[in-house]
Amino acid sequence: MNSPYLRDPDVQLMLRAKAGDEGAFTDLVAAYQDRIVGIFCHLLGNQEAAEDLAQEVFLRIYRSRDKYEPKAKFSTWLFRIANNLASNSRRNKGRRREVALNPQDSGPLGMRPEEQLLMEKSGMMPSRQIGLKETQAVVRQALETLNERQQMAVLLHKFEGMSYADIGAAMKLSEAAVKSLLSRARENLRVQLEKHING
Amino acid sequence: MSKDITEQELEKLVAYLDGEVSEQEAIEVEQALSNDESTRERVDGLERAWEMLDRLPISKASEEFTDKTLSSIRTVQLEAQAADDQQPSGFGMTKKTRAQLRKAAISAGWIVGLACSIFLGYLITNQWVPDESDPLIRELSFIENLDTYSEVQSLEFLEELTKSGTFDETAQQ
Repeated sequence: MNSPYLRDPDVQLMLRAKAGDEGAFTDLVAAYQDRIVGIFCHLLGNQEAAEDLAQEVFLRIYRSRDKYEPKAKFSTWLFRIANNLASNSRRNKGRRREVALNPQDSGPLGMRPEEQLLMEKSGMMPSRQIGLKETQAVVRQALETLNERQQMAVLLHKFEGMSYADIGAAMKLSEAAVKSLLSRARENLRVQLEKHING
Repeated sequence: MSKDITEQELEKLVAYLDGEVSEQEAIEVEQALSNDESTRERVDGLERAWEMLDRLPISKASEEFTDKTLSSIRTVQLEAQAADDQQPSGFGMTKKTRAQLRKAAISAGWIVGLACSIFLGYLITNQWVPDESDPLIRELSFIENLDTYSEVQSLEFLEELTKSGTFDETAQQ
C-alpha cells in the first residue's frame, strides 16, 4: 500500500482497527467524539439528537472498517459520513416537522428568543447572563438562516479549521464551489449580524 | 456604508480572510483595502460576524458517550455474527449446517481415499509378489493324470501310438 495519507496518525489507527485492534477504534472514538457531537449540536440544536447521530457516524465507520482504504485524511472521511448523516437526518426531520416547545429542551446552544423573552418577563434570568445568552441566541438565529450546506461548510471551516480542499472532499464539492458557498454564507452572516456588530 | 460588490469580488475577499488566495490575489485585495474605504468596511464586517460565531457554546460528548457507543458497536457485532450463523445460504441451508456438511464431506473423502489406497496396494502387491499356488493351478490337469502319465515308458512309445491311430480310435469310442 502506498497512500500519501499513511502519515496521518488517525489513518494508522483506522488501519489497526481494520486489522482487529479494538483499542485503536476506541482511541478514534475518544479523539473525535467531542468534535462530532459539537458540530451536530450546532446543526441540530439538541444534545441528545447530536449524540445519537454521532454514535451512528462511529457505527458506520466500524461497519466499513473491513473495506477501509486510506484514500483521504481520516478526518475528511469521518466528516463526509457526518455530513451525509446530517443531511439525511434533517431531511427526515423536515418531513416530520417535529418542534420541541419545552423550554427544557432548548439544547446546548442556549435558549430560543421566545424562551428568553419569557424568562426575562418572569424575572427568572440573572441580569449578568442576559448579554451572553442574547448574543448566543442572535448568533444561533443567524446561523439558522443559512442553508444546510452553508451551515456545514461554515462549521467545518470555523470549528474544525478545515481548508477549502478538505471541506470539498468532505462535502463532495469542488474547491470553487466551497469558495462560493462560504463567501455567500459569510455575507449572509454579516447581514444578519450587522446591527449587533455595530451596536 | 459598504458599496455593492460582485460575487467574484466577495469570493476573493472571503478567500483572502480564509488564507485561500494566491499571492497575486492577496496583493490585489490588499491594494483594494488600502485604497477603498467601503472594501475595508466590508472586510471588517465579514471578520466581526465570523468572530461572533465564537460566542456559540461549544458542546462536548457526555461522559457516557464512549461507553454507549462502544457497547452499541459490540451489540451490532454480536447481531451480525448471529445473523451470519442463522442466515440461510445456498439450498436453504444455514451456514452452520453447511459447515457440518463440509466437515462430513472431507471425512468421507479421506475414507474413500484410504480405501482406494488399500485396494491399489493390494493389486500392486498381488501382481509383483508370485503366489506359490499359481504353478499348481496351472499344472492341475497334469497332476490329475500323473498316474496315467507314469505308466508311459517313453516318449518314443507315445509317438508310435499316435502314428498307429490308437488315440483316434479311443476318442471315437
